[in-house]
Amino acid sequence: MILKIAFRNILRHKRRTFISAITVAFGLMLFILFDSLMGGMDRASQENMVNLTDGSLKIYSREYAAEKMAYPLKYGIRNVNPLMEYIKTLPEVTGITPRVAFLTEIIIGERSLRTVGSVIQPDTDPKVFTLPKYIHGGRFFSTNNTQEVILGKKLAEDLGVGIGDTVLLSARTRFEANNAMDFEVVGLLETPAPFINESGIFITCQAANQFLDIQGFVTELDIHVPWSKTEDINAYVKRINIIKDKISAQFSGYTVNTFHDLNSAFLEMMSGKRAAQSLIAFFILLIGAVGIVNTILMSVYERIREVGVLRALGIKPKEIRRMFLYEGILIGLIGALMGMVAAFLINIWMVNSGLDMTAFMKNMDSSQMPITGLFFGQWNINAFITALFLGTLISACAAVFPARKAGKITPTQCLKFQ
Amino acid sequence: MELLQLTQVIKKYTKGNIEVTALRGVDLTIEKGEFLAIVGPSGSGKTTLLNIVGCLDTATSGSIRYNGTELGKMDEKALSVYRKENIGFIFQAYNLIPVLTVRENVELPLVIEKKVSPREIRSRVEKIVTKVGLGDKLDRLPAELSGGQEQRVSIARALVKEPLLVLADEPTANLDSKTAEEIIELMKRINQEKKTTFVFSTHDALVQRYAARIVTLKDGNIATDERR
Ligand SMILES: Nc1ncnc2c1ncn2[C@@H]1O[C@H](COP(=O)(O)OP(=O)(O)OP(=O)(O)O)[C@@H](O)[C@H]1O
Ligand SMILES: [Mg+2]
Repeated sequence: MILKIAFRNILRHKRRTFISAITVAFGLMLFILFDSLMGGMDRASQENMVNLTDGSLKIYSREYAAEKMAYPLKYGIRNVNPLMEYIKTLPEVTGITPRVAFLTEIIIGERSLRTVGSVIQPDTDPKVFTLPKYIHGGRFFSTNNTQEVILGKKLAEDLGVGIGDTVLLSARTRFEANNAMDFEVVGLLETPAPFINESGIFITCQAANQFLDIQGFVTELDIHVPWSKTEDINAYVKRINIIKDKISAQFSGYTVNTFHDLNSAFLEMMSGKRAAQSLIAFFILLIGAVGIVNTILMSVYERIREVGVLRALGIKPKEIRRMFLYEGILIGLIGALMGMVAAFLINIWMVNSGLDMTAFMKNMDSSQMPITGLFFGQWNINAFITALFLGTLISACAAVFPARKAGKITPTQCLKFQ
Repeated sequence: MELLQLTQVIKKYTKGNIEVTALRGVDLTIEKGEFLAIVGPSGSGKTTLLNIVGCLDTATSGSIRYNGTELGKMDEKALSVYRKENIGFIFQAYNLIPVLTVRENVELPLVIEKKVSPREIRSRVEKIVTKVGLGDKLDRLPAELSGGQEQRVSIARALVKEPLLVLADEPTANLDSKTAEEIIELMKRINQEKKTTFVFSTHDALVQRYAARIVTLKDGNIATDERR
């Protein structure tokens, strides 16, 4: 009966219920979307690491790993072939490719820039890195011409070069000799990884043989293990760690790193950031709670007489409190459902089309960020469940104070029989 | 046989520093089956007296015996149980729960008590609502009724538990004189049929005519007490 009265009162004041449910809905919607966006951002940066910058797993020689910040060309991977043959037999590995990172200076007339270039194997590299997908202007490497370079689009813009232009690259060869060579710009890269867009320089192995004197020598092997959209990062990292252990057990003298090992500081910072963001989202929810306190309080004052009658008929204060508590919870539930539906609809759009935040990121130094300004959402059932739970809990808490007030009403105080 | 006996009942209200004495030692005995009107000027203590008799409020001092039980020493909780089980109330106005239908309003006291089976509740409610002449309005909401009809529903609700005593504070104050007369006639009829004791306050001379006994209050004292 108490529940019936609560329920009918909710329906009776449709507009008021709606307005306060909306505040709850809005808070929860922001909470879910915020979570989706943050999750999407995290996921996008992780995928960029796997697909564009680091691969799932990366193998260096032990000596190279120790000095890798200096990009030393003297420490190559020994016995590359048996290692590669073994890795190819691993069922989960779908691609393996060698790469060589080298320090270089790109020179166009007066202007020059020091950066790190990558030597890639055009036929196997796309099995590990998705660079060809992000060629915006020009093309990927052809097989016959060796003097080709692909640049990050932003880098090319900064330097004022385009497709067909010639750039001069200078570097030290493997044997510490200075060398410089002309390359023709054949392709420009615009990837979700700002780092590549702003400083990426890619040349082929054939070109590097002449330019850097590397003669089939490689400094890293990059391995790709497919990562499905539905698999979360922990499961994936666990899987590739098993592969890492297998390789380490089979061969010595190498350092095998997962993308997670290579970016551990950054990934940890990201998860720390998320905790702080959840806190912000929680405060957004509190706004919804204020709306509920207000509505129930209004409801209590408006129904003082009704409460008096119920009390005179023998309903206990406890049950009066419960009646208003139910009202709060019902409003919270309605709000939570509305918020979830709204979040669901908006998230469909965010997951599929993405949210363009480039304008906001203009002022930030994005070169250190692993993603660009187009943010995609992510589905996270947990966020929806948490929202429903939090929404109901917060509205129940919000109703406690007004409900207590209602419980204190005595029959004479409000009836006074007149 | 006496139902209610008040001896030297005093009620003082304190609001801040101001003390108001609403009842100054009231002695009153009410027999079972009486139809009693309490009259008197505004502020004379009618409502206060009914509140105390109805266990909605406690007396400052004095004794109230109801059907052999001393109520004067009971605390708020015990009083609320007592009131639920023994007394029916009819309030002046706005006393139906607006979101409940006529049927639900009338069954409320029985549902709260949880002692009667749903089928029994149903038949009792239908019987009493028919008795007050609203058998065809069981599923209406209070907002769809006239003032007189609302007051009939209140009477039905006060009677559904078949209490010995029904208290009504100015039950006809919000009604026009024709409707007021219908309501008081209904109360009188039930009083005669079921021997339910009715104690009500009123300003209305027309309504007073139906009372078998009229107690007049003045400044918290009983000025006159006449039976007819
Ligand atoms: N809750 C209260 N606090 C303080 N004083 C009160 C309270 N209730 C009633 N009084 C005072 O007690 C006195 C008696 O009031 P009561 O309401 O019993 O009169 P009444 O006869 O019912 O008047 P009316 O005909 O206007 O309804 C009045 O002086 C009133 O101001
Ligand atoms: Mg009064």
